[in-house]
Order: sequence, then structure tokens, then C-alpha cells
Amino acid sequence: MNKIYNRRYQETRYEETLDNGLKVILWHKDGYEKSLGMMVTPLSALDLKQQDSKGNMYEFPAGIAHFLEHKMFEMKNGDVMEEFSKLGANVNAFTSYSETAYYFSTSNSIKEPLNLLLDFVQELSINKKSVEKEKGIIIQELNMYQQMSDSRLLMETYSSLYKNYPLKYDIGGNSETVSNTTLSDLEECYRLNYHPSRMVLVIVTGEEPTQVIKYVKDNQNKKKFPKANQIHRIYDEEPKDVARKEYVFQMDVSIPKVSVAFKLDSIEDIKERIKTEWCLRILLDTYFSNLYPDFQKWIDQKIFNDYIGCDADLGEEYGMMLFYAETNKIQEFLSIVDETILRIKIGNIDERILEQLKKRYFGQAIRGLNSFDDVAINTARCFFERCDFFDSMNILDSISSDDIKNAVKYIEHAEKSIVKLLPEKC
Amino acid sequence: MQIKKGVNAYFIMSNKFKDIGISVRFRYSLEQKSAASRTLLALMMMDRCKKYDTKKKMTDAQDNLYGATLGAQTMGFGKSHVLEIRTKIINPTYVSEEHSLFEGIFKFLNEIVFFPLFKQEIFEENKDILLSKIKRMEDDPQQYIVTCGLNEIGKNTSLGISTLGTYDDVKNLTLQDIIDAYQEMIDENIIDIIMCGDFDENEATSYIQQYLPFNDRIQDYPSFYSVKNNESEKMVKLYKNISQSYIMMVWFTNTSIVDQDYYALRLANGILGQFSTSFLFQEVREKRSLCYSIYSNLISYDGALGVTTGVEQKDIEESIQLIKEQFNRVVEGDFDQQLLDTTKRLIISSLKSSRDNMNSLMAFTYQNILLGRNCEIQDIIKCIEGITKENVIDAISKCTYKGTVLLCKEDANEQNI
Repeated sequence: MNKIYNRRYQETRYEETLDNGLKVILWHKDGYEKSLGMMVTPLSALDLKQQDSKGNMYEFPAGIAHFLEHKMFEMKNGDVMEEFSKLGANVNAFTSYSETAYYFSTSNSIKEPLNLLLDFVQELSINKKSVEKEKGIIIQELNMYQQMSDSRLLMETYSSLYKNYPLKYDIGGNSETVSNTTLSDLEECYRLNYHPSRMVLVIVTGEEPTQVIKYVKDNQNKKKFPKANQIHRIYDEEPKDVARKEYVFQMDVSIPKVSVAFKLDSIEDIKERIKTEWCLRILLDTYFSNLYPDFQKWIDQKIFNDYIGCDADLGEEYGMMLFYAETNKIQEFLSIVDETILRIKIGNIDERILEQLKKRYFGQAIRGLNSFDDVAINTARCFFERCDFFDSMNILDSISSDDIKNAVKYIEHAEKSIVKLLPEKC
Repeated sequence: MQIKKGVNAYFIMSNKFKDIGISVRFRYSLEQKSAASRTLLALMMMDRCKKYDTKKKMTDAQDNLYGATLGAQTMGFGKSHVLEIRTKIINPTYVSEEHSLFEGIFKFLNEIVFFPLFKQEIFEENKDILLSKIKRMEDDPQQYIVTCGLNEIGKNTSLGISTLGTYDDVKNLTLQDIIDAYQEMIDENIIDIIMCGDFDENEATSYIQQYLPFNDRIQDYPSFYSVKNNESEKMVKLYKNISQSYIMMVWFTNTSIVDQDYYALRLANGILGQFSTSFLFQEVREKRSLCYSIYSNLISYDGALGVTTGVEQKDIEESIQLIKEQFNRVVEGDFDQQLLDTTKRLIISSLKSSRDNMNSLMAFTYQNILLGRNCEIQDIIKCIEGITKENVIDAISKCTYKGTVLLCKEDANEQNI
């Protein structure tokens, strides 16, 4: 068991890879009654085509990871949620574009719910009938998100950016892909992606670390797993241009909402990607927030009010920059975004603002360590990305105005896509 | 600790957290018009102040305090309306300029609380923001159904008043209304300052005296009550162009938060619809696949209970019937010891975990203040452990069903009538 203490952030964690390949990372939060356990597989909503080490190809319907997440909650001897409840623990799960995670939290002893987490994630117990029954619930869930204007705007934005890349699909797929998902799809997807050597178990707890790790080992030593098969995601080449330059749809909302997205190249190297993401974030905060003098002017001109934002998201296989607003002056907002992008492309940054933002981000990072959920999910993501939890903050420290100037090359030739959500009665 | 008459400070000492939080709460009575003006006041105070008269200056000041957070919001606690200003800074041990950071946050609060900037353009801007917030909430059927449900069923009571203010009330506000609301807040409201984290109590006390120099005040504003009105059972249908339909059903519990059987009612609510083990989740979602989300919720300071879900239009009747049946199952005691024990364990675990969360700790302290008691989380856990099945049945049997509000797509047939 490897102990890692970080003096600057005053945090201790332990890491160990078990014999079956499962990586265990434990954050020791002395003085806390609460514990959180999170079991994560890198199987995400983007994994629609996979290839194993022997060259076998596998194809799955959109939404398979999310469907599987729903079905994991059935066990041979009953319902998983009920079992956790009996222990006074809450269990939940989520599927995203980067992973599927199962987690519990409790303020009682961690031992039993931890065993239960390992047991239910390491066993798939489904049949044709239970798969069919789940389809109704999942379609209800997808309908619910379809009715939420914010999530709908985001989904349409992704669909506008990508022609082939699976980000164009909603995480849960759609009613057609859900209906077409079969028992054997789910079984195969599970077999390929839930092997212990592919997963990470993150624990955040006030309990004694050696003891907690022993619970995990005792559980794992009782189980036998087939030989691991390396698996990776395959995806069709994505052209540089966007799928839809402009897309308009209507919903029952009072004020229009608009998003403007820029399609960026992906950056394979993780450190370069983290650095670039920081640089773009610094530029966005400089030129498209309260720090920029014209920002107040745009509010006074009623181009937007508090529903306004921007984001830069870089992945191993994709990249995007996003602006969105609720606005009655769509044209004016679009012009502002165009002007802003031009400013950002120059890449100039005031040293004082750079230092100020570093201070802000440092404070945010410190505060983020209070949240067990954030710590757990970021730990898992760093593990899959093969970087250290604090790498990101260390990279931020080192960023200079030259780095920022240099980073704008990644947005130089970015293609733009506009999505407008209009009120129905217009 | 009393700072002045009607102004008290409470310190929750804990070294678990990475930050230090300060929550200043101004309590007044909940009235429809003042709810609107106070909510807008909160927005304006957070936006700018005399010293930091632009958003940029505000942001600069916060960034210099390592991204100190600042939030202002209004909340309803039964018959009272609370305007809260909350700020958090990272614990100064994480930075070199330790001393100035702690004092800095008090200086910052001083500017926000005592030197607000009341200008017409700031008023207009924030009024627009508040109006959009209310509209946005109405656009989200899941939130909107709850507002509609409470407004309709709680008519003529505090339960029916929106703590945010209504669209029309906000629309009619003038800058003078906000200035009046501010003056009332500073002069008359009951003030509670709650701090949590790892800090020196003496230092904090002296900063409070120096930077939050409020005057004495005498008025008190009651919070909890048990809602009653003479209206008969209602069925209200509202329309919105959505594909899914939303249901909110409301009961008056006839139990106030300080009554002895309040925690038995909490358990009854847990059995009915708070957790995934509950009747509503199991029967309506799991067994019949009628919905994705369904839950019941206790509105403790008013003595009401609501059930909310979203279903297909064709399933509305069946769902309402099913929800009523589940409620009756709890009344009739159609649950075993195991479900009672599980529900107890879940509530107790959540109570324990609130000791690990700064906002929950502050909320718990404030509850003690409002209820005029000084109990520990452990006392409540003990009380819950001792509750029997009969207690639960007695508590839920006191509830009266008051009505249902539906939000659904306009029916083509109905339109033709």
C-alpha cells in the first residue's frame, strides 16, 4: 500500500493494485464520520465500437453504457438499492461521456456497503424479461431530459458539432436505440468492460485505511475472474467541419436560448491537454466574464443577463469551446461571440489578471477537496488519464503568458456551429 | 452569543473543513410583497456595493481573497422570511498572508452589508434577472408544479406565498421599495450570524463587533406553525405545452415541527416516498414503470406534505389513485418492522452525515435558533431510534388530504368544448 501525502493541500491518500488488477485509491479524511465508495469503469457513452487485443470488433447501440448502469442494480438475491438502504447507506450511479460510476455513501460502518458495492458491480444478473421492463423506465428518463431546455440545448449543440463521433448521441441514446438493445448486447458489453483490471475503486473515508483496504482484499480474494482481455474504443474519423452550421428548434420556453460552439482538434498528450484547457479557461474568464470591461455594457444593453456562460472542454478524442446565453437579442449575442473569439485568438493576457485568476482557481481547488463526490470522481478520471490528482494544479502554477499565447493555435481554425432554441409561440 | 439585542453570533468549531464559512441571516415575516422586494434586495447586494461599484471590482475583491464565495438568497421558514448572505474563504493556513485573509473577509462583508449601492440602473438590471429567474422556473415543469401546488392548495396561508416573490409583484417594484426593505432589514430584522470552521473565536468575535456593528432590535418573527384553511379538497388543472404531465398532491399534516410526533411523521414520510425503498418508488416506478422520478416531501415549518411526479398523460388517473393507495397503506400500518428499521437507518445516516457538511451544520444550528432549543444531532437520532410503528401510524393518520394540482398538455377534446 503506497502512502502519498500532499503537504500543500494537507491530504493523504493510499494506493494499491490488487492481484486481480483492481486499482484501489483511498483518501483518508480524518475526523469524518461519512464514507464514500465509488467503483468506476472507463466504459462511457462514447463506447459504441470497441476492439479487443485479438482484433475482435464489437458494436453496441447508443446508450448501452447507461442501459447497463440501470440493469446493474438487479442482483440474484434482490434489489441493490434495498440492500444498501437496509445498511443505512445511499447508493447511486451515473453514466457520462467519460465513465460509468457506481457509488454509495454512509455514515455507518463502511464494511458492509463496501462489500455490497464490490459484489453488485462484479456480477451481472439479468434476463430477457427484466431487460424489456427497463426500457420503459429509461425512455421516461430520456423524455424527462428532452423536456429540460438546458439539457436539450446542450444535446443539440453536440449533435451539431459531430458527424460521426458518438458525442452526437445523448448519453442514454434515444427511444429507438434503447428499444433495440438486447440481452446479449448488455452481457457482452459487461464482459468486456467490467473486469477488475479495467476498473478503479475510490474510497474516501474517515475510517482506518489499512482496515478498509483489508475489507476490499478479503472480498476480492474470494472471487475468481476470467483472464483479462485488453479493450479499447474505436471511432470513425471525424471531419474538421461541423455537422450543422446552424440549427433551430422550438420548445415551450419564455425567452430564446442560444449556443455557439467551436469544434477544436483533440490533443492526445494529457499534460499538453490540461495546460491548453487551463489557458483557454483563463482567456475565457478574461474576455467573457465580469473581468472584461464591456461585459457590463452588454448587460446594460440587455443582450443577456445572468444566464450566460462559456466553457472549454478538451478530450483525448475531441475538443470544443462553447458560449451560451438566454437572450432576446440573438443577433447581437452572436456578434459578441465573434468579437470575443477574435480577441481570444490574439492570446494577450495581463500578468496581473493571470495572477488573480491563479489565486481564484487555487481557492476553488482547495474548497473542492471538501466534497467527497468531487474528490472521488476526479481521482478516477486522473487514474484513467494516467496523471496525478494534483498535476492539474501544478500545471496551472507553471502557466505563463507565453503559454497562453501559444495555446491559441488550437482554436485558430475552429469551425463554428450555432443552435437556437426559440419559444413555440414566436 | 449575544452581540446586541436581537443580534446573535454562533460558532461551530470544526477542523474538518478546508474553508471558513460565515452566514448572516436576517429574519422578517413572510409577506407576499416584501418577499419580492427582499429577494431583489439580496440580488442587488450581491451584485455591487459603494466601494466595489462595478462587477469587476467585486470580482477582483473576491479573487484577492482566493476566490471567496458570496451568495445571497431568500428562504421561507414557515411564517418567516429569511434573507441570507453567505460567504466562504479557504482556511488561511493554506496561504502565506494568513492574518489578512481572515480579517479581509469581514471587511468585505462590511462593505456588502452596510454600504449597498442603490442606483436605478442596478435596480433595473437585477429586476430583469429576477424576472427571468421566475420565468425560467416556470419553464421547468418539475419546479413549476411544486410552486403551483403550494400556491393553489396553500391559498391564504404562508404556505401559498412564494419566497422568491411572484412575477407581478417583482414587476411592480420600485427602487424605493428596495431601499425601504433594506432599511427595515438593517434596523428591525432579527439577525443571526453563524460561523463554521477552524478559527480563533476571540478574533472572530472582535471582527464581528468591529465589522458587523448592528444596533439593538426588539421585534421577534415567529417561524413554524401548522397550516390550516377552510378550503375543501381541490383538483386544479393547469396547462403547458409539454409531452409529460406533472402531478403534485398535498396533505396538511396537522403536526408542527416542535410537536412530539414530528419525527414519527418524518419516518412516515420516509416510508411513503423519500427513499428508493419507499412505497411510492417501489409501486409507481419499479412495479408499474409509470414514472422515472417520484417522491414525497415534508414541508416541516408549515406542516404540509407533498407528493410530486411526472407521468404520461394517459396514466394520470391511475397514478393519482395509486399514490392515494400508498398513502393509505402507511395509515393502515401495511408495512413491516424491516421497512421501518431501514427508513430509520437512512434518516439517521443522513443526520450523521450532516455533521460532515458545513452547510448542513449551519442549517442545523439555525433550526435550533428558530425552534428556541439547543439540541444536538445525537438527541434527534436517539428520538428516532425510539419511534414505534404505532407512533408512525398515529402521526400520518392526523394528515388531511387537501388536493391535487396537474400540469399537462392541453387536451384537444377539451379545447373544443
